[in-house]
Amino acid sequence: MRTKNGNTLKKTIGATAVSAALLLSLAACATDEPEPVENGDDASPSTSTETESQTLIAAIGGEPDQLDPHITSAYFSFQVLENVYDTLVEPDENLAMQPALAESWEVSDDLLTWTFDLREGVTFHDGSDFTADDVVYSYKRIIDEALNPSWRFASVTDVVAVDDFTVEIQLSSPTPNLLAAIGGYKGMSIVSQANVESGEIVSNPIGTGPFKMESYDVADSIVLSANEDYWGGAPAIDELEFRFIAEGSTALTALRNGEIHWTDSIPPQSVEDLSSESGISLGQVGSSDYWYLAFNMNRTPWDDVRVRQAVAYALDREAITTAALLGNATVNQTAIPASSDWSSDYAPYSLDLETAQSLMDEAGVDSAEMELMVSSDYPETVTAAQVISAQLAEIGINVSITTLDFSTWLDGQANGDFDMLMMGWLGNIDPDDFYYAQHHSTGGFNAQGYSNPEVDELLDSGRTTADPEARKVFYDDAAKIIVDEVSYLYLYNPDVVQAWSDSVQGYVARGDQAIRFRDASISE
Amino acid sequence: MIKYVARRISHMVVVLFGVSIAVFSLVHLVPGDPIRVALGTRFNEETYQALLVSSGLDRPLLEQYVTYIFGLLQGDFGVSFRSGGPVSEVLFERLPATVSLASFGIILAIIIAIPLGVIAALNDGKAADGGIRVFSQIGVSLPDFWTAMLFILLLSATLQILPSSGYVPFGEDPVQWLRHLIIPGLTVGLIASSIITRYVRSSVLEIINSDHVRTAESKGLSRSRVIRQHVLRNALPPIMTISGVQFATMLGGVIVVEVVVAWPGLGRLVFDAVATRDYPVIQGVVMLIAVAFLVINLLVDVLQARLDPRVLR
Repeated sequence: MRTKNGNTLKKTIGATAVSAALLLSLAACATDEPEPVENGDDASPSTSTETESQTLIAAIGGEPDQLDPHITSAYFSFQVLENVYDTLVEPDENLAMQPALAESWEVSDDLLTWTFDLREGVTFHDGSDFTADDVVYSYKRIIDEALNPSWRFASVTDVVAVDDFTVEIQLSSPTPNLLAAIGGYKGMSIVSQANVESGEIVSNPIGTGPFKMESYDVADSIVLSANEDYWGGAPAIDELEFRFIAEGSTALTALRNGEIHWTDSIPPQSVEDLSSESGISLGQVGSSDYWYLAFNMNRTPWDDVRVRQAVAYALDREAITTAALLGNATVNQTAIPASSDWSSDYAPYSLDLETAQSLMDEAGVDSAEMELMVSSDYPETVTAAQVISAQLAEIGINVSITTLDFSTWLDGQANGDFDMLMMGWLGNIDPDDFYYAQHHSTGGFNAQGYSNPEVDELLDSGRTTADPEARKVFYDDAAKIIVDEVSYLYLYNPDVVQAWSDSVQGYVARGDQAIRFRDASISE
Repeated sequence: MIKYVARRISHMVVVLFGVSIAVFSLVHLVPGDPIRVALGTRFNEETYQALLVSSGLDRPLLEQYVTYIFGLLQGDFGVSFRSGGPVSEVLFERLPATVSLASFGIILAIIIAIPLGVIAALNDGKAADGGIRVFSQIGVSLPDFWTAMLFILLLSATLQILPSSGYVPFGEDPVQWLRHLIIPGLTVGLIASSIITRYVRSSVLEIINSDHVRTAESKGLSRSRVIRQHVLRNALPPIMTISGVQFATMLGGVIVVEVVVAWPGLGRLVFDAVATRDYPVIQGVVMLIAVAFLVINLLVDVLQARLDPRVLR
C-alpha cells in the first residue's frame, strides 16, 4: 500500500499531465488553425455596425493611471476623460472659450466677481441633476485638498452657489484668464460628490459628458457608451472604446488591418507614408505645446547672458527640429505658436557662429563643459541632444548628454543637477500659461533660476489686466526680454499627429490635443 | 517526503523575508520620486506636501518598512500610488493574462525543445546537430521585442490571419483568447525553447554515453525503447529544473514583449510601475515573482524526488 501522501501526489501528477495534454492539444490547434474564415469578424471593427451598434475603437499610447480628473496628470487619462466630463466653459478649435455647463457669464466692474449662469436640465450619468452645488463642491475640493490643478485657482478666494443655477467665483485680484483656467483642460471638470465619496471615481467616473463609463478591462481597454441625454445632443456612435497600445508600429498595424479606427501612437518616421496611404486620414495641426532648452543660471558660465546668447546663435533650430520630429513641427523663437492671437513674431536669432564666438570671447569663456539633461521617455529630446551637442562643439562647448527616465529627470531638475535641459510644456492656452510660472522670479516652474524685476512686473500686469490689447503688449514685451536674456531658448511647436480610418467622419484633430469623439460617426 | 517539503517551506519564508528587505531598500535607493512623477512638470509645493503625507512617504524608512511587512503578513500589499487601488487587486487583475501567456509559452517551448534536443544529441556533431544548434543560438540571441514585431509583421500585417495586439479573457471567448495569444506565445515560447534545447541536448548526451545505456542497448532493446526508458527518464531532472526556471521567469511577466503586443500582464504592470516609481506595486510584483520562483522550484524538486528518491537525502 502506498502512503496517503504518495497517492495524493500521484493524483496531482496525473491531473497535471491531463491538463498539460489538454493545453497541448489546444496549443496544437492554435498553431495551424487560424487561417480559416474566422478572421474576418474579429479583424475588422466595422462589422459591429452590422448589428446596428456602432463602436469606434481608438488606440491610445498607454493606460490611464487613474480616472479622477482632479488627481491625475497623465495625458492618457485626459484622452478618455475628455469624453466623459464637462467643464463650465470649453475651448473651440481656435482655443476661444465657449459655453459648456455655463451658458453665459459676466464680470463685475471691479473684475473681482465672476457670475456664471449654469445650463438647466443637465444630468450626471447616474441620473442625478447637475446644479450649482456640484460646481462649488468640485472647485472647493481642488482648492481645499490642494489637488493637482489647484495652482490654477491661485487668485480664487471663494466659490458660492447663489441659487441652483448660478455660481459666483470671487477673486483676490483681477484674473482675465479665469475662463482658460477653468475650461482649458479637463482637470477642472465638474465631478459628482457621491462618486468621489464612494471612491469609485478612480475607476468608474461619473460626469455629465457625451459618453459614460461602460466597462474597464485593466491594462487592455476602456469602453464608453453614448450618453443619450447629453446636453449637446446624443453622440452618433453607440460606443467608444479606448485600447492601450504603447508601441507605435503595433498601433499602425492594427489601424491598417482595421482592428482599430483611430490612433495617435504614430512614430514620426511613419507620418509621410501615412499621408499618402489610401483608406487612412491623417490629421496634422500645429499644437500649442512648445519645446525649449533651459540653462541652470545658478552655475557658471551659464549665469552669463552672453554665453546663453552665444548658444542661441550657435544652434540651428531647423536641424534640431528635423532630428527631433523629422520636421513635424514649426520652429519658433518664442513660446506661443503663430496660430494663436497671442503670438509674437520676435525672432532675433539665426545660425551665426561668428556672433556666437564673439559673445563667448566677450564673456571670456574659451571652452566649457556642459551637461545636457534629457529624458528617454521623450525620445525627441534624446535625438535633438545629439544634434545640439555637435552644434555647440563649434563654439568650444563640450556637451555631455545625460539621458534619464522621466522620474529621475524630474529629480535632477528639482535639485539643479544640470547645466542645460530640454523639455516641453503641453496644453497651454492663455499667455499666462506660457510665461508666468516659468519666468516670474516666484514662478513655480522656474527651475532655471531666472529673475528679472521688469519681467515680473510685466507678467503681473498681464495677469491682472482685462483689456486683451493691453495684455498682449505686456506679454510681447515680456517675451522679448525672456528671449533676449535666454531664460528659455525656445525651439519649436510640435504638430499634433493623429490618424484614423476613412470610415470615420466628423472627427477633427485639435491643436490642444483634446480628443473629442462626440461628433464622430462611422460610415460604411 | 512531508518532512522534506516542510523544511523547504521554512526556507522559503526566510528567503521571502530577505527578498522583502532587498526590494524595499532597492526601490527606495533608485533615484526618482513617485510624487514628483505623479505631479509631472506642473509641480506645486502645496500639492506635493499633501501627497507626501497621504502616501506615508514622509515617515522614516524603517517605520515604512515595518508597516509594510506587517501588512504583508496580513496579506495586505499596500495601495498603488498610481491608481489608488489595493496592490493585491492590481496584481490579481493582471494574473490571468500572464498565466495564459506563460503556460502557452512553456508548453510550446517543451514541445519544441525535447525532440530537437534529443535529435541533436543522437546526431552529435552531424549536420542535424549543427542545424539545431544554430536554431538555438539564433533563438537565444534575438531580442524578444524584435521577434514579437517580426511576428506581428508576418502574421498580422502581411498574412492578416491574426490580430496584432490585445487580449481577450478565456472566459469571454476561448477562440479569440487563443488567437490573441499566438503572437506573444510564439515569441516567448521560441526563445525559451532555444534555451531548453541546449539543456536537453547536453543532458541526453551525458546519459547516452553512460554504462547503463550501453548495457540496455547490448541487451538488444530497440533504440526507441532505450531512449524513452533509459535515456530520457534519466536526462529529465536538469531539463525539469531549467523549464521550471523558464516558466517562473515568464510568470514574472515578459516585460518588453507585453509592451509591444499590448498584453495586459504583470510585465506591463511592472514597466509602468517602475516608470512612475509606484513603490507598493513594484514591491508586490517582485514578491509575487519570488513566490512563483520558490513554489515552482519546490514543485520541480518534489517531482524529481518522485523520479529519483536520492534527492530527498
